Amino acid sequence: MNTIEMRGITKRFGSLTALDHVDFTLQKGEIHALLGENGAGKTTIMNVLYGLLQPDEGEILVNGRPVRFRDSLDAIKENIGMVSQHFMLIPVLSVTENVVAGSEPRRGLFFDFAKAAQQVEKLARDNGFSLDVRARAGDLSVGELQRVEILKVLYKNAQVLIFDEPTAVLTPQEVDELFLTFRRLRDEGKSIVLITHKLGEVMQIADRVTVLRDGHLIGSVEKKDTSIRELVKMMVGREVSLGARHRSDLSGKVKCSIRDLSYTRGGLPVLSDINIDIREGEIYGIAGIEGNGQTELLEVLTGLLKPDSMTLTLDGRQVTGAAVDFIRSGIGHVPEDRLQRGLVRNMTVAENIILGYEDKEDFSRSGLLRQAAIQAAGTRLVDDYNIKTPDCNTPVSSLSGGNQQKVIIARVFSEEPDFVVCAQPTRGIDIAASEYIHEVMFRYRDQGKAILLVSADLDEIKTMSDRIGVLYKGRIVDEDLADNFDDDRLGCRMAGVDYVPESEGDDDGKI
Amino acid sequence: MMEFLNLLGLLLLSAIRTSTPLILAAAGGSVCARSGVMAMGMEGFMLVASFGAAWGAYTFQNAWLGLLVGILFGVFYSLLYAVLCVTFSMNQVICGIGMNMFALGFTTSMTQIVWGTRAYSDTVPTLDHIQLPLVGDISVMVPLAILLAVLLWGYLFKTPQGLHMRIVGENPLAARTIGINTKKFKYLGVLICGLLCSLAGSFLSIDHVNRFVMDMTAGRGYIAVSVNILGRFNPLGAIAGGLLFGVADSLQNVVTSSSIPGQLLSMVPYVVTLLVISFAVRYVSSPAGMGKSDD
Repeated sequence: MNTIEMRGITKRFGSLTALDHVDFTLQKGEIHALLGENGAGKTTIMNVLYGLLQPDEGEILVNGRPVRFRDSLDAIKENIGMVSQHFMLIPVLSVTENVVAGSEPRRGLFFDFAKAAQQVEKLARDNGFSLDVRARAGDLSVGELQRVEILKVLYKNAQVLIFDEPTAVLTPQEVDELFLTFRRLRDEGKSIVLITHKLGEVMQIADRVTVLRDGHLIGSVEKKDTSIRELVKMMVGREVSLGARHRSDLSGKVKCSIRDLSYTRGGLPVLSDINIDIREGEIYGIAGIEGNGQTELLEVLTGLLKPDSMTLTLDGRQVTGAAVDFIRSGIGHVPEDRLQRGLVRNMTVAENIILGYEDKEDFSRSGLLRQAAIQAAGTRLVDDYNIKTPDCNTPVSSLSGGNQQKVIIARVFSEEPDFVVCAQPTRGIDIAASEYIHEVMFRYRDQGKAILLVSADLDEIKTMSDRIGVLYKGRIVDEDLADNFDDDRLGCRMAGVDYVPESEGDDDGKI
Repeated sequence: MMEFLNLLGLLLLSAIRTSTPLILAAAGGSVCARSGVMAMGMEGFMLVASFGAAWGAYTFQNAWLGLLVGILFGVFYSLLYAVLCVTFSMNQVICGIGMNMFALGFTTSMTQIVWGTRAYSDTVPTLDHIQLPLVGDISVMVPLAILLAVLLWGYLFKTPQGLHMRIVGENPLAARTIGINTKKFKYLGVLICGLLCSLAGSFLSIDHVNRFVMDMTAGRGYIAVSVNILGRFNPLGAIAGGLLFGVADSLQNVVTSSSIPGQLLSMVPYVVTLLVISFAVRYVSSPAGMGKSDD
């Protein structure tokens, strides 16, 4: 008998059908990967299972018994637990309070903190987590926070544990630890659903895989009977060339040189002594756990933030001034958060395409916008960059994430800057669009331009970069050719640990 | 020396009286803020209750029935705030300020209708005072304010329910994922705030003095917002913060010497408010979910 059986689940949001008669089964003691691109409906169907969303059609059976979840409390009662992608922890409360919240031990009318702390301590010990249960959640590292989330679910005695993209924020070592925990929980007879779009993870840990695409069930397969190639095909609906790339030979001269970049905020160093040279025809990737100075680095290099010291030269010319001077000197910027910094949601595609370049001769004259020229540029770029939109007068907010990102890419790259600061270029967008954006970047690199790539997606850094610098606490702690980095070395350096290669002599002695 | 001690005693007594409505309102406001709803409407809740209490006491010629009417008015008004802000996710600042302005217009017009003048009501019966050791004759609201603040502190920080309410105020989505009904706690927070503001407002018109006066609260609801911040959204902090403002407010009643102009002394509570807002606020972190709608 299946622990969970979902039959013909349909969920509509207005005119959009997020799930169209999707079936999903989960067996006792298995790790089941739920695979699909962003927007395929993975999280939606799990939100239905966890009672956060009510399906329009379909039924759910737990251990063969039909159930109806009005809210997550009902799901918790059926021993279902979920660890969301964004941690649902309260930073100002203690680990203990976070774990027991919702089913606290009581003494009379009061919350029995001492007993709760004891229980949580035992639970943590039983699971091999070392945690200070009295610490404030806000003081913990990301890996520890995730352990708190797991304890939270286990404390409520969950037999089914749903994890939504749990590895997105972890270092490779933390991922290994998490997978160890998964295996142990599975061996205890619990069932685990792993929502992911990373194929490597699926092949590493899953027993069974269910693939969704555009709200439709594509199929469920045993891991041992499938391959990455087949899974990609199921996920995207066609063959995709994976990891086809060639490295730059790094023979060009230095295009962009960053010297002595330091920045302190409130007396604390945020960026210290950063020196990077990026050559013509090079993509330089910044690897690092989020919050180690990436955002500040991006803002400094695009003139949005004034550092304490920096000499930035582009083709030997020094770049100074405000953001607009940086743009005019030929530095393009693909911002980290496309909706916050990259686009004005309610403006049209055409208007967004000239954003930041609106005072150029092409687009305005004597203080007036040249509507015809803007329209023409919009139409041309929509065409050139494969932006899927009815026309260039559609508000950019009605485009999909991938197409919104293409608007930014079109804007930046069509201006042919010498140096592009490219942050999270494919975050949260579908495979086809990210493939396309990567192509544009490669093509641009091969024209002899320089690109600085910052991404939270380690795979993207590894595939795209010619050289990688690891940013840790605002310093470049390691820098080498991308091919000289493996997961071990990257993970160690990202976590700020010294890296000792397992076999001696296969490293060039840089560290 | 004796004179100085006398003065100090007077100052303290006066401070306790003037701080009582602030403590009540701020203690209620801290519960409201902890549930994630900005306590922007306190001025209005107090004013409406203040009028209601005077009107009730006048109509029934009984101060206790007046208090009951005051509570009914104030709690109903806070319920309206909860419906707008929680159920209909209205912007809490705009809604609060709008309701405060409506309360001023409404109570002024009603005063005109009931008593024929918009400035103030006829005299009304007041609540009986009680005798306490040390302080002597004192309003029943004074110990009640302290007691309620302590009870609410216990509720917020010592009971599972209170923990739930604080989680709702920090992160409503997190609360929902562990099966907590967020709307219930937000309503509860606003209504508790409404109840305490009603007591505060009634205190002004049927205890502190014996009539309703146009704009009787005179910004106390806003001062309570800053007391609330100063007290770190903790009902016990509200007592301390309320007393500070009470002292600031009482200076003008006690220090009557001609050396300091009275206008300067009247400014003190507002200057303290300004100082709190400019300097203390940055050291106090508000509940993270405050002012946001949950969905």
